[in-house]
Amino acid sequence: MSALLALFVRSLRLHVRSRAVAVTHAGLVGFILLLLFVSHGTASAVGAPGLSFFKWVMLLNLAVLTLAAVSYFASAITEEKEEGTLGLLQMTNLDPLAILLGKSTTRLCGALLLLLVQVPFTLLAVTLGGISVHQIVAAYATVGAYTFFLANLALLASVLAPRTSVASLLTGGFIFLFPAFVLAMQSAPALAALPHLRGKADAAAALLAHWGKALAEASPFERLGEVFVTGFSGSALSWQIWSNLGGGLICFVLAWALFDVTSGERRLFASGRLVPRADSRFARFAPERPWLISAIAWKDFHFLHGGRLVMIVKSVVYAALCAWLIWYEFRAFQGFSAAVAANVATPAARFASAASGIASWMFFALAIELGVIGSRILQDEVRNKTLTGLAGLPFAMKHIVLMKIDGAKRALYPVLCGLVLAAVGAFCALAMNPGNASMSVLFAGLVVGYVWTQIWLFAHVTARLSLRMRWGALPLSFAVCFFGNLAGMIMCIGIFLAPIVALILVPTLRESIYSRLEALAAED
Amino acid sequence: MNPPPLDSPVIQIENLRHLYKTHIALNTVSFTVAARSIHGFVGPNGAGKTTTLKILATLLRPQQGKVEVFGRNVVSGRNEVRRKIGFMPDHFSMYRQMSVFEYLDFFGAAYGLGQTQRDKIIADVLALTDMTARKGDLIHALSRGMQQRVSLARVLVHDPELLLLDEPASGLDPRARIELMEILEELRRLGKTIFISSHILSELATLCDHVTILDRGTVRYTGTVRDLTASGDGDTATFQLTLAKVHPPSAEALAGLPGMQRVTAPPLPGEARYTLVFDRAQLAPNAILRTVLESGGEILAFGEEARHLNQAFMDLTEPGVRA
Repeated sequence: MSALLALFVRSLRLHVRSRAVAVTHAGLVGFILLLLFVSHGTASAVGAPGLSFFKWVMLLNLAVLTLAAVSYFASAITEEKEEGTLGLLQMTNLDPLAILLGKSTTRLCGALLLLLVQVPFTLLAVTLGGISVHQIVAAYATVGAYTFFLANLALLASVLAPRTSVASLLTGGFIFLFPAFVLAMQSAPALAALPHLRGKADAAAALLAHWGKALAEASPFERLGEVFVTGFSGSALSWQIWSNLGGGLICFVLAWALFDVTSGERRLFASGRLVPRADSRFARFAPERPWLISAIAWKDFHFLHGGRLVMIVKSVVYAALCAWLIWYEFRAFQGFSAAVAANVATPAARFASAASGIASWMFFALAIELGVIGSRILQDEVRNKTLTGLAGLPFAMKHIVLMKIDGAKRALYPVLCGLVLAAVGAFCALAMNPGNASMSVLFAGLVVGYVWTQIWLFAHVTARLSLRMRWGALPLSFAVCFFGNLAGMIMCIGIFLAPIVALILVPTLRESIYSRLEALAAED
Repeated sequence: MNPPPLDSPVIQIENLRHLYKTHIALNTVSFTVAARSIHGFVGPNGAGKTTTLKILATLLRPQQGKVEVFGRNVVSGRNEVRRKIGFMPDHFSMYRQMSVFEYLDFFGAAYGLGQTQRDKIIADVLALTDMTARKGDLIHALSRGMQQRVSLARVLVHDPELLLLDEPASGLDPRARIELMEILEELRRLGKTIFISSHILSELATLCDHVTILDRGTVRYTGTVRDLTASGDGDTATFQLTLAKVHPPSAEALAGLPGMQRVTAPPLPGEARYTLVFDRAQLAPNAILRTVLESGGEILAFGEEARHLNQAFMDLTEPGVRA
């Protein structure tokens, strides 16, 4: 066997023999079968049950793959850097291409196998009705190409970054900011139409909008929307597939080209520190002296969550998002006639719509932030072998964890401010239209309570799993919470039951986390 | 707080037993550590040293037996014990993206020290560990020896009375090891009690006044280094006598002394080194010296034969790897 493929083949063998992989495949297939069974049971009450079932499966795939990119794929090379074993690999006769194939392409193959194993079961959707084999093939081609792109994007981040956390941040940042970037490009003509810009930037705006549209069409979500239209007969090979494959290939080639530069003596981002120092140009963002009341919160806020600089960046991003949502909401009603606007686009409706838009985005951001925090807040201490130092402090483990949560809470201020803004908007809407306030408040309370408790549970499940698994805690906990909520929804009692389940499980998980941390500190 | 009286036990372990599933890590371990002593803790790999240290550092709960530090039980008085000890594990437990000062400042604040107090104590520990000039450097940019110094500085930042050091000299070059030992000597002079686990026996022999040898979870020896390395069984003494040249009349005179049990002839021709074994109760070293001088021998060296700690260690521990 050539040296080029030696590591790849060995990793693939290990992957195939892994019990965890087999359990994951079996769990996924079991869930699909359960979903299929439920869809079959409710087929008479639902139009196009096969399509509905298949949409759920694809949604689940996209969510899990996106989270896998942030955690599983992004650690391909950084885990070797963190273990200090990358140098040993380079000392063998493995060249960078062989290392990239062995470390990353195996993971890509694993993810593609995860998709492949579903196909025989999802094909049964055809018998339920509402979807054709052609649509299923086109959907899998879409998701497959997206997987290829994600795996190689994360690989590039993993090659560039010195640590998994930075690689995850780079990958996640790209994935979640890219749609906003595309949306901004597509909004260019609207901006160009503003009075003081009118006629000055039309050509540039049109070009931006054109490129924005092309980039938007590269999105698997957009493409799946087309594929799931009843009677879809387009080609299975679309611009989305070619662009995703091309993008993935470019990322892989870049990772290959930059491998030696970033893994040698002179590494990119190798300062080992993202927080500015007191003697740097950004001294005003440097950490102040530790807080006596909670030194651990100080440490986590500055050195784990990025400190004031990251908080300012997040504040700007969230503020821009909120501003854009408000602007979009109020502008959307401008084209209405006065009569329609008086009935439909009332100020109360505008406030309510803007508030719900902001709340949705902020809860989404909160889920991402809490998921990432949950996956790192404890695991970083274990991985960096710093848990012994913390556990030796004269506090109970519970107290130490609470101080760490305090640090995380401070990092969440920007997104919490966004939620407060949404609450203010909702309050204004209610004040302007007090007619059915009690029902609206009850419904909003139920939804907010449900979402909040589920996100809180998700963060705890992630933190707990991160103490068992070196990687993959985030996607696995997402899958666990997603399946749990889906089961609740299928039984139509999720919105009432899930918050109660979360309120019972969170304290149990906390106790389990404390005892696990104590055990790990003793093992360390 | 007043320092504990000299020779009062700072650490008291009685019948400590600890199992990892079915593997017996510690089997009825008992020993004490006196205040303001440097107590070496040696044993082969897998002997149970790190388990003992983790129990003393309150990171691991003892399953059976009594473990007290400064008279406090390590389970019920865990937080009080933690305030009085500084534990340095056998690996670097450091936030590498922090600067040296930030790292020490963080731990000082975590122990509840005010800013003024922290500034003073950090300056002191940096001076002691000779790291003042590097206080602004990021930890990840420091060499292993420097990181070891920072690790030791961290252990000292809350001014503990007892230091628990697990293999502090491992991986250090000879100069760094010698400098570390000098720092430990200085700490003893400052009144600290040091309980140190190490494999470098030659350095422990010169540094420690007490030693505990652990093998397969059992204490093989605990006491002073002097007693361990002293030759003989307590009643008899073994001395080495080196003369300027081979001198049979001296050997004969010595052999005739009351209480002299054996005078071993020089091991090599022309080498005038004699081994003398005698009864301590009947014969004093001064009498031996007087006899040699009176018989016309020219003395170059005279002293009690000491076993090296290495030899004592080899004698007390079993060969092979623990199953």
